[in-house]
Amino acid sequence: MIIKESPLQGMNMGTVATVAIRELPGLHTIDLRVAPGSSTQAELAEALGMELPGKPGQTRWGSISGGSEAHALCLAPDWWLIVGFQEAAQKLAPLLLKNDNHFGVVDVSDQRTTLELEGPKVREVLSHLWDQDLREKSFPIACVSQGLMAKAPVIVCHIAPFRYRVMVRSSFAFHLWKALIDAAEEWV
Amino acid sequence: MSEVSFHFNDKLYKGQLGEPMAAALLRNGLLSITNSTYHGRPRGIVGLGVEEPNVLVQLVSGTKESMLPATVIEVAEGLAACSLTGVGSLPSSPDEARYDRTHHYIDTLVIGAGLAGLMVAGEHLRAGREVLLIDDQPGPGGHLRHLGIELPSDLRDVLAHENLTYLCRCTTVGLYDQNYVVAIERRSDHLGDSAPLPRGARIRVWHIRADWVVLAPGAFQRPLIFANNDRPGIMLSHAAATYVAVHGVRIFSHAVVVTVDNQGYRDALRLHREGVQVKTIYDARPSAGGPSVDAARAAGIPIRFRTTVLDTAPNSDGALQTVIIQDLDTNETFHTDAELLAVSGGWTPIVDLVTHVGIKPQWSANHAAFLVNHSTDRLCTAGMLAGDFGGDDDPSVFFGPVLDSEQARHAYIDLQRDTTLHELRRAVVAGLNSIEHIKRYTTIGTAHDQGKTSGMLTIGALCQLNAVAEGGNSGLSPADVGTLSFRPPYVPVPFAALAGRERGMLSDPIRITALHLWHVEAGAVFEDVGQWKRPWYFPKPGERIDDTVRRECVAAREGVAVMDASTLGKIDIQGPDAAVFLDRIYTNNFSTLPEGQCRYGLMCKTDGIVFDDGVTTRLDRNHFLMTTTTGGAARVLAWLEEWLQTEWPDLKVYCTSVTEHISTIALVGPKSRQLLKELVTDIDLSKDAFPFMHSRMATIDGIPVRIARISFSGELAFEINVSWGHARYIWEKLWALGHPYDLTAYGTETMHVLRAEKGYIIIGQDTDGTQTPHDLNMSWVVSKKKEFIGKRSFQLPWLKATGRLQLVGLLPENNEEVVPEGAYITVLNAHPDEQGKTQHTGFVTSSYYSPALGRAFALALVAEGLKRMGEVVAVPVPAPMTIGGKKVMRASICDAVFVDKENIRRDS
Repeated sequence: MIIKESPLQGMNMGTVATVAIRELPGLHTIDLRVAPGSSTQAELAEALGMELPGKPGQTRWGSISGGSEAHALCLAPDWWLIVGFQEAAQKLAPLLLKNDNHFGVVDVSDQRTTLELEGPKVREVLSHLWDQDLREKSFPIACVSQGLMAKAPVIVCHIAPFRYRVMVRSSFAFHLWKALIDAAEEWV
Repeated sequence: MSEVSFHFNDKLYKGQLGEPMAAALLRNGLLSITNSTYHGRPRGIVGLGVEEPNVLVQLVSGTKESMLPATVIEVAEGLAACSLTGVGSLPSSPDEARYDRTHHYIDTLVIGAGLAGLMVAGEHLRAGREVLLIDDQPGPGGHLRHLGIELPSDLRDVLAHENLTYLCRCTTVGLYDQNYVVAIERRSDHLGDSAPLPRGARIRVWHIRADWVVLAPGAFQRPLIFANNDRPGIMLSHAAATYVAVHGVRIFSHAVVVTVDNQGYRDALRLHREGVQVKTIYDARPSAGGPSVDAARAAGIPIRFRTTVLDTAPNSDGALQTVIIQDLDTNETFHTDAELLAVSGGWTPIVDLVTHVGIKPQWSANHAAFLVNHSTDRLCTAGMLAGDFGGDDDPSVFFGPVLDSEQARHAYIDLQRDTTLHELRRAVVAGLNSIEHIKRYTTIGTAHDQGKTSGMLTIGALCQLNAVAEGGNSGLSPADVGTLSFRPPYVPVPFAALAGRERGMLSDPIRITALHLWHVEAGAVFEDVGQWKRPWYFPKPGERIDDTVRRECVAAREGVAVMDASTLGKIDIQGPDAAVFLDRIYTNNFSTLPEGQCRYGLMCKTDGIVFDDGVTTRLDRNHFLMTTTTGGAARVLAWLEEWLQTEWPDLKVYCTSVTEHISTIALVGPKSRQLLKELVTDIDLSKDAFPFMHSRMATIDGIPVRIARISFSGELAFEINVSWGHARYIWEKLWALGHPYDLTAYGTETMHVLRAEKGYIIIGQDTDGTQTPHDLNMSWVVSKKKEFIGKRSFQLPWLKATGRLQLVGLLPENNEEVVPEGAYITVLNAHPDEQGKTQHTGFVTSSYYSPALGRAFALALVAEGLKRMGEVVAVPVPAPMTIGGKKVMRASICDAVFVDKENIRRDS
């Protein structure tokens, strides 16, 4: 199989002593749309073996086969991203054939790439470009939010203490990379 | 403190590191520093901070920033500045210093690190809140700094608290609704050139949102209005005493203090203790008491009540020499000589920020000041702004003596604008009585300092004028006049700071495709299409654009050529009602489209005007992939969502953008099938097995791809759709296989020529936002059998009227001459009307040279053009080298399809 090329080819810079910024290439992602609270949503969750968080801004971690971790991000009342779950679309395919089921599932793995920022100065760096509240009490671990970062549409996820992921549209990835490197100038 | 040297007006001076430049200039004996902007009168330092109206300087060092008050610049090694007469200039070179912005969320924001601010900060810390404390001074303490007094230990503990962040040199410039505050932090200017260059920005703009905002900004001392009140040597008493007592200014031996409150006594005492002989304190009040007065009296300073300053006289340099005092009861005057006239006209609390959010300050006669005693659960005021003046002040409401018209001409209210009492009176005589109107009529308060000292004087003078008119018993109080409305920013902010990092390459996103680096390496010249960078053309060494485009066109029409079409918007549409939904969105039918086939679609807004177009493929019964124009991708998705969410929530359809997920490679030309056969071996690419407007899934080296027979050139063409991550592999493999075919990469310019030859429109280029599908001669794409968005508008009289602009082709009489795009078209031999204007009958929308036709051609929108085939029209164009400056090109109207009308090549 020919290996995919990521928009930033796995670039990384900085150090976790202050802030490290790196691309996480090739995170498998599907876009999932379904009426919230419907029986179809429950069926999808069961098929995936993952809980679909009920409110926009919430995420759920799930362990999938092979011991790796998948994330379900709720972006809008009827909109989720399932990240890091290679077989997700496959597992949902049988449900599509059932007549009364209505949901949307689209492979969007290449629509965005993911930048991970980590280190004690990560919030200082992000705050230059991100106008939302990053404080622990407002945006705790496992929260997700959408917005514009350096005028590029992004999804920001709080992964772990002082570790955030920024999912950015592939065409904007190099622009955002430059903006983040610039914002981190004081620390790298 | 260490001694450093700096330059002012090209001369070297010594100063103490970190002290205000104003203090160093005074200590070095510079009393007269500049001339006023309009009257050219000598001026010196008046104040202590941002309220300084006179001494503005331009930095000669560093960023060369202009219009900075000398009172706020900190002395540092290498500092160089020169004085200004109120008019600054921008340096010719760009400002290369770094500026940035940051966003900050906090429980409590305290503005002002004086006593009041620190005390409230302490309360919020004790309540368990995190506090951000910002202050425009280099250090905490506010008023205490001016007195040279250390912070008490309990307030030092507040500052040292782990939940408090303190930013010095950080000036709040705007207070907005919902406790949103913008402040600018000056981070490096005070370090001078001896310090290592700090990392980060020179100025950082803070965007702060706080649950609680505490405003403790303090107050400015105000001057009085009297004749010739602008001479160097006339200063605010608190500023004068601070320069003498804290900064060691030793240039004054004799001083006169004029006051309306007890602050004048305290300042007189400070001057006295530093060895300045205070000749007398002239107090406008009939009497005064309190510890400040007792202390001055005990020090032996003479005091005279019911007296004030009426006028001054200068020495040979124009600086103060003589103070003329008036007895307010007898009107007698007498003279006394002094180098310093220290004026205390009362305190003006800084109400600017609260007025930004519409809070009205209230007049307090007891304080002789406007106050804001405001407290909600989210915003409160503290300290002097809230009326807590401390001390034993008992100010009187007094703004200066009564002046005759000659004296009024030199009685300055706004020193920066050189506006006098005379001009204020003229405004009142002209019938203006609102303070806002008077401000605009006289320009008082419109200068760099935005009325920090002059605003309150104007209000006072208005009341006084009224009193004179009413025979001395004024019914008008400052409460009736009200304060001026202040607006952000509180102090001037450099544009560079507001721009921050959003300049140069970061000013706007640059969007690139998966193949961008290949294009760069291939030497492409790029074109901006919205935020996208698209290859415009791929020149070979020595080629000019025309040569390149001709070569690329020929390759596409005669051999095989390839282009990156990845920027097209792509929307995945799925659900049981997807076909019904598309029928309503597009003017033509999509429910009839068989699976695995593609169809061109046109969409209108509700007004019947063409909005976007593209090819949509039915991947599955309930699954479509829509393409949109490059620039229209986001607005089409928003349009689809708007209808789904607000009008047709019953439709079971989901739309998802996949613009970046899928890369699209267009392979074009008579040899494209032959070449593609070498790349794609698992499906039948023959004409019969894979007809035009069909779509097939295939694999290339195990990579899943979708091939579609779609043509935007009119040639036999295939589109290869592949995920972003595999696009470059496929492109390079195709490129290698294409070598024997002389495969040619082409850009947007050739794409434009090819599609125009075929009469394919580009919405936004061949339309001007007023065309229906019928105007574009595209009635064939409008269904008569179903409802769709915009259909009913086609019945509107003006969309059915004759004379509408319609899309046609245009052939210039001169084969070689390409008419300019955008040129107007007139009838032949049109005559100008009386105004010299010639009626036009349309305009050129697209115009190129066609290698296939061997001539120039164009598309145009022409009034009733579809009925005017064969008519010769005129295209007047500028011709700078000719008499009259223009020439008239002739062209004939024709059908808009120039190449392969029968679609033989496309369908081959």
